[in-house]
Amino acid sequence: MVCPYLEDLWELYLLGVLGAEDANTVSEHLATGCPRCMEQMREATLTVYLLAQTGRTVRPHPKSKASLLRRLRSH
Amino acid sequence: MTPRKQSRPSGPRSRQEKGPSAFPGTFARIAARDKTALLELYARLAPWMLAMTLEITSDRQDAASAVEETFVRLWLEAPRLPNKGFSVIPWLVLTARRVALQRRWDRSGTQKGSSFAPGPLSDSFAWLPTQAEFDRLEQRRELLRRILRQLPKHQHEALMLAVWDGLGEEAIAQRLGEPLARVQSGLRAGMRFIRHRMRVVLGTWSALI
Repeated sequence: MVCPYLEDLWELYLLGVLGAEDANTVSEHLATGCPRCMEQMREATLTVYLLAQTGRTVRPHPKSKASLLRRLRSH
Repeated sequence: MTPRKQSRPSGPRSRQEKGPSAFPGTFARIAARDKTALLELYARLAPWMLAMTLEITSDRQDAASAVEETFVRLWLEAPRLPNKGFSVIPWLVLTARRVALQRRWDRSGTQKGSSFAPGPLSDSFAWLPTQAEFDRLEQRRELLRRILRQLPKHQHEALMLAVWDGLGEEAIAQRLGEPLARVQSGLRAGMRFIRHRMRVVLGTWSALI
């Protein structure tokens, strides 16, 4: 696999946008542990993180922490 | 389900809106099975993550459930996550987005048209950004916000459908009434543009922005 071909795909892969063929190509290559591509994946992760920002906050329900704690106790 | 908003977020909206900061010590405590540490992290990040999941689900209950599920997964995965030198916050964001999209699809009874779960990323965390990379991004949020605004309209529209609706390339093409090849090339060009500009901003040269 020629890594440069994948350069445009990392963010789209993380977002789940790619069709099955391209997604499989990326998955198979990542499974090789290619260090160059892992570095690009770190960069892409930051991009996706940025894209997923709303710039807002929403206050959780007052009982949400208690609900989470109940879930944790079951694990 | 409440009606979807017409306008979509395209990044942090003001200098006052800060993202989550680093919690390296907290992650180490969580990895050591400290529930209090997890609840502290939840208290600090949940308002911000809830805004994201609510944008995706348009349903308060689903959004809250997605955030809770994300923190449960963090609890389960914490012993495997690197807690030194890496930021786990992007992992939280990607996980919360994925869970929120699943809640949305479950509620609407729709199936996603493209492959979604990045399998190899579940087995290794080498893709997690370093704390230094994450901190650099947080320090330049305002400049980075401008980058997203600079995208051509049709690329921006396609990208927002991907981010917030979780649509695959084919579904985006159908939604926009455009040929698949045009959507694919537009998304790739858009990401190339963002990547190039981010490298400028996250480096030392911001003169292009």
